[in-house]
Amino acid sequence: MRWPLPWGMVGLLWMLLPTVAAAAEFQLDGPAPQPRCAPCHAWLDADPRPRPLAAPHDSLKVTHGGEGLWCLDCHVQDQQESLRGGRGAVFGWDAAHRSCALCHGATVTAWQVGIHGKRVGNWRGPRTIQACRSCHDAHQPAFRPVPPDPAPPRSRFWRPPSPTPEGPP
Amino acid sequence: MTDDDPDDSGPGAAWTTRRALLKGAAAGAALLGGGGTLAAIDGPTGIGLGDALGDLLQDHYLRMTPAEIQGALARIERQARRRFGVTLDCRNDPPLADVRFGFALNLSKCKGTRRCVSACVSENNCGRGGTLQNIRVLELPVGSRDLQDGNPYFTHQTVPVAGHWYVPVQCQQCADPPCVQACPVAATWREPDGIVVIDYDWCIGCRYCATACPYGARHFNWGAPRLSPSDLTRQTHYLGNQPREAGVMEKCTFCLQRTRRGLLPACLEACPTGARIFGNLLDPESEIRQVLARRPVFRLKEEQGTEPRFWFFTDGP
Ligand code: HEC
Ligand code: HEC
Ligand code: HEC
Ligand code: HEC
Repeated sequence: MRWPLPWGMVGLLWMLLPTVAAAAEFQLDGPAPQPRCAPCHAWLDADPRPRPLAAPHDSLKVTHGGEGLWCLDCHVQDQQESLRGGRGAVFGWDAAHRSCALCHGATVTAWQVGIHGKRVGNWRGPRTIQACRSCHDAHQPAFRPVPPDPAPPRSRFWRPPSPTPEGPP
Repeated sequence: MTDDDPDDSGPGAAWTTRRALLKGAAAGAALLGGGGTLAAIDGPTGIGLGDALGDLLQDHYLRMTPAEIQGALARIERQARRRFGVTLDCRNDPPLADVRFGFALNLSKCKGTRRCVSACVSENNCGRGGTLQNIRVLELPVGSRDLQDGNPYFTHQTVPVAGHWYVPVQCQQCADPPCVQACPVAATWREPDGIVVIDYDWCIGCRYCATACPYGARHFNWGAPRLSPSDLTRQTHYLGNQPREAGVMEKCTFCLQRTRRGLLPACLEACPTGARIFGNLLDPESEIRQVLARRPVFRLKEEQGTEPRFWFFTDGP
């Protein structure tokens, strides 16, 4: 009678697996990013010292994290076409969200289950969601103010809200 | 929140004419009977006399036989061809089994861009440049839920404006909808998938429902929508975005012409910030259920007991 234990564990795994897999299953919207850094960086000596950069990166402004972040907090030294993860892990740009998770774990989890970000195409069936880069520039990730669409024509019944509240509605 | 402005009505008296026409035609129609042959009679008005009579004789949506519904859909398509020269596809997709729709909106994310409003107007064949818009984006001091104080008319160079948040308000698809109780002719009801719908052909335009709605989400169309043929969304639903005539109530239907076919509502698709979340409340894996499980949510005017199927939340603590 040695087998009840393994079978119990198999059963447990069987029950756990589908839910875990189903919650995490998604495809990313849009084409995968195509980094082209090697043509230069294959020839350049890596220089990990935080500093203002010369051309061609002189115009690149990083406001992310209040100017406190340095390129190599996210990019990998000597491996510019990859992004950094926790514990030395390295990801391709098509998995940039896993690099964001290094510092924004809770937001990335929320994105995976559909609370942050945006699903596209359908509300059921195979799930496609927008990648972080659809909405955030990795270097200046804050929402940029935009002009609003036109206001509706004013109804003549509408009065601007009174500065002095007239009590409970 | 306000009612819609009668000033903005396009051909202003259109709806009274329609009602008068129907009234006058009632006697003749009673004699003619049967919907099938009526389509052949065509008046000089452009409305199509036969179809106008067919309209009049038509039963309540829920009482029509499948054949009668097909007749009604065909009539809507014919009328669109006459009115706009456009070929529509008008359907009556039924509620999906085991589906109850719910919506959630993240007020930390909404930036007041009004992209949802424009997308809604276009998807739902609302008149262009009119006051009738199913979504109002209210600008309020951060944290305020006092819809009365909301300004839907904000015009800024760019949004968001510091110190404000933006609360989009549309039909909250209440589970206990006061509008349905207020309707004297039962022209509005709640479908099994949770969407409150209107039979535009049964609606008498009395506007009791608009008064009963605590959210100002029902709108009376004073004139037939101003639409050019190229504006028309051709995939339509009888209870949704079919081109309306003047003198009926209109409201958000969670884009049932889209959502009953698995698509997302137009407002959600247009939102640039991901503030809108939609899905099936009966599916524990759905995004909407994730929001309800993981975020503190609230609903508008909860104390009124209308049980909205539309939740709001914020990211912050
Ligand atoms: C046109 C050539 C060129 C291309 C293409 C290029 N780089 Fe660079 N990069 C440079 C030069 C030159 C420097 C050194 C600048 C300095 O020291 O001021 C540099 C420096 C950097 C640094 C600072 C760290 C270091 O080792 O000096 C990072 C990070 C970096 N590049 C990332 C990238 C990434 C990511 C890409 C691809 C998306 C890329 N670069 C593409 C020329 C290039
Ligand atoms: C917060 C993490 C982060 C930091 C800090 C950061 N990057 Fe990036 N960078 C990214 C990500 C992620 C991408 C990929 C963007 C995409 O998917 O489109 C990227 C893309 C790039 C690109 C190619 C696309 C573009 O925008 O030009 C270059 C070049 C680049 N980074 C250079 C740098 C340099 C140089 C620095 C330091 C001055 C830096 N990055 C700092 C995350 C970062
Ligand atoms: C090395 C750590 C680090 C990584 C990796 C990182 N971030 Fe950040 N991020 C920060 C810090 C620090 C802040 C500032 C937090 C604050 O102000 O509370 C920030 C802030 C933000 C903000 C808020 C910006 C604002 O001003 O409102 C966004 C959006 C953001 N990050 C997106 C991303 C995305 C997308 C990625 C992946 C491409 C990413 N971050 C990767 C550290 C990181
Ligand atoms: C559909 C657009 C969209 C997508 C996709 C998206 N975000 Fe955001 N995100 C936003 C908006 C809008 C805000 C609010 C920004 C603000 O208030 O300035 C935000 C805020 C944030 C913030 C700061 C507030 C917080 O919740 O911590 C972080 C960090 C962030 N996003 C990270 C990410 C990461 C990482 C991804 C990808 C895994 C991602 N976002 C995908 C739209 C998006």
